[in-house]
Amino acid sequence: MNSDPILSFRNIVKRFPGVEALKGVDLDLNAGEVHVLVGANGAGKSTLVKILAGVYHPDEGEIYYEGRPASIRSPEQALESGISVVYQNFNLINKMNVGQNIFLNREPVKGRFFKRIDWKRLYSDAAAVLQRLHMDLDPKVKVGALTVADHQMIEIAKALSIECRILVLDEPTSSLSEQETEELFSRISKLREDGVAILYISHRMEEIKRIGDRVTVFRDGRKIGTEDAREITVDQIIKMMLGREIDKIYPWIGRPAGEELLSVEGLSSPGILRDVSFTLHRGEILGLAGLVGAKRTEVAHAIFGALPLESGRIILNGRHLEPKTPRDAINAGIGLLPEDKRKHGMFSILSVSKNITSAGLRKLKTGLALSLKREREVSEDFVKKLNIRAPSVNTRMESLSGGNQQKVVLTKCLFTNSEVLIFDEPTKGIDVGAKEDIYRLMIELAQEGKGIIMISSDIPEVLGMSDRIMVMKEGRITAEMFRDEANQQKILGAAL
Amino acid sequence: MIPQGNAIPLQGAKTGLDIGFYWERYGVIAAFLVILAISSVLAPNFLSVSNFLNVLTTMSFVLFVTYGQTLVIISGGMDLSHGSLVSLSCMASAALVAIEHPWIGLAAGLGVGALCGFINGVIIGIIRLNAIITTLGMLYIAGGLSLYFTEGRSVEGIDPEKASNFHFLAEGQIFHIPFVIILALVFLILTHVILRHTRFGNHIYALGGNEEAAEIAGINYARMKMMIFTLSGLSCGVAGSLLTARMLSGEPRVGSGTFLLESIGAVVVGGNDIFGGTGNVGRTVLGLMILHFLSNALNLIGISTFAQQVIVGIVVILFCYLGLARGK
Repeated sequence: MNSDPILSFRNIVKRFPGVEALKGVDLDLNAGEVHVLVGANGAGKSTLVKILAGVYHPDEGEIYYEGRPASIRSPEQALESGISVVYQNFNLINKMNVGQNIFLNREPVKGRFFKRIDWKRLYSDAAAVLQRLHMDLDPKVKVGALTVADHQMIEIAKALSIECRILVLDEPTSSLSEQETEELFSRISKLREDGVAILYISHRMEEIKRIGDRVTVFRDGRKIGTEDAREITVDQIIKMMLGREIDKIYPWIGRPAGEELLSVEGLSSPGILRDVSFTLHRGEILGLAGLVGAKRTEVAHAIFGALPLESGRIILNGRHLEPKTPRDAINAGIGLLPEDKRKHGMFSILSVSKNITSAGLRKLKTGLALSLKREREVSEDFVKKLNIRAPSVNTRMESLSGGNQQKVVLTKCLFTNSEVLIFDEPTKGIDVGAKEDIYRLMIELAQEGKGIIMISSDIPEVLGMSDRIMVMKEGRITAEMFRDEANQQKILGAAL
Repeated sequence: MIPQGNAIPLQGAKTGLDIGFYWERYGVIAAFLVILAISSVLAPNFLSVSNFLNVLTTMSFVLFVTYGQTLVIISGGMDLSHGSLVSLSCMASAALVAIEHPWIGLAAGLGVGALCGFINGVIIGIIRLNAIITTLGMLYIAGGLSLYFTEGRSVEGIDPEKASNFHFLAEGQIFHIPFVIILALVFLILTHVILRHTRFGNHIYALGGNEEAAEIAGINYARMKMMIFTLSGLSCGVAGSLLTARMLSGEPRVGSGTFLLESIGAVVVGGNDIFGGTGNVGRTVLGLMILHFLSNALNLIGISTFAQQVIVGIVVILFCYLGLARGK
């Protein structure tokens, strides 16, 4: 094995508005190795990949390619330098066919004077690439008509058809069958023998040991360490991934569980949810853990009237509830703090006060008009109570930091007096200070007798805040445990 | 040659008889034939060689701009500057034909169109402003410029003797076929070849299909947008110059009538996806033929031009409803 790194990152820093995604990261990638990159969601792996691919540009730090300082200015340049990336979320063009996608921007041409695309060769080359991966696919089929697993394999076929020196695979197996995974692994082994450097991002512990040579762990935008993949144990990796003192961050205090508030029986939706049942009590925080794609958000949407159900019953306060729209759910006393707050939770060009009151305008009505005076009073009250840092309640949402935006979105649920609060990734992408404010608020709400469902991919958070924990995988609940019997291994075991 | 199934994009390979598939693929042609058939019965003198050549000649001047618009729409944009660019090109070419030589005038007409298109492309590609807003701005700017230099008057003083070759481009005939129709056909083939047989053309589809994915594949967004909008502007330059050749004068409002509406309308009525990513220029031609033959038939039946517009509008919406034009 060649020990000279083909690519080195030194002290890479990348900032986004409100978040520092990479806080000075070093990484060496050797030719002929499979280097596995692990870390919790939001640890900065994808950001690093995008820097490598020329999509993002680092704010600080140096990149060395084959020992020389380099800057990767564009995806075009990355490809020319032999860097090929398979992204986690696919970059295929649904309206084009398989062959066109595989050879996009690398179309073979023929003709001396008039260079035209050699479609015949393009399709036969595409067929050959697919054949090598044992994929039985017609290169002329539109990508939009295919399954997610097909998409993943097409992305891989695309990457493998490029003569590359560095191949990046971002969670390539998450939608593949066992046989396809095997096929991919044998291709990776061959590439490794050819001296290609492979950066492999994965959540699956067993894969790290299977194909990794070295493993690097990221946490909160920092590199925790690089170890030999054959020597390190799964437990050690998990410890590196999570490793922080849980008790100090989470203000959990024991509370007696109250009466049953919400009961969900056999929620099913074809291809999404499979027989999801659980109960939620007053004063309880129910943690919902699982990997991204385990359909936890869909459970929230089902209860909130935003996902049509095939079967199942929702009982709130002893009354049967059939939410057809989010409006029904809000009126019945359910509040949702959505995962993607920018898209589903807030009106970024409106003021803080307009956002806070947006879901319960009825409460501001005086006669036919809205009372702007009451709107201001209510908002100022909440801003004080939640420690929201905003110049005034008239400030536009977009100028607030991520953590404060999150608090305002949360306030929206409080304003409508929801009894059941569903928090979908409540602390994703916000700083520690704002996190603690939100945790404190959750405890207060629970003490007031509200029931809280907290969806989170952050396992320490789930362990630290929940009274009871449910784990989901592929649309079904795979484990349920009380706080005192839960640990990281148990949760990961049920989620993977 | 063109791979089978590629001529008109469709959703996946289908086997057996699938009405939706055939409807999508041949529906517009069927609709066109139905319009022709009904018109032949109802409109006197509709079914004659001279009438058809008439319609096709008038249509040809518009066809050039629809080729440019097809490229823009397939790439996921829209060019609203078309009407004014035709006027400005017409004015520029007329002025230089009058003062200088006809061929310099032609070059000026083409150049002005291409330049304005290039400016659109720079703003959209490099500064990354929205295409609709940018070209709307250019619609005003070029429209204003066409009127500004002559204070709204037309450009006269072209010597018909000196410009006789130039005049031939628009009014001449080869074997009784108007030369402008032949030109429109040549440009049709050119556009088709660009779209289907060049990497540039393939990247136009990619850009319209998924901009982010296209960029990640290394396609240069700025360069693509500049090229596409320059070609779109150039297509207006061709139309504007040919209008000068036809009228032997420069009319500052020549493009402000139906040019813009028809350039977008033809693309849509022909069944190209208004959101880009699929489509072909053949459909655009079909779309424009439907608009023009329909107007012509209504004309012959004796329906006023104002009522015609109402009917054409209804047809556009009806096409969309029937799933012939994609916009549902």
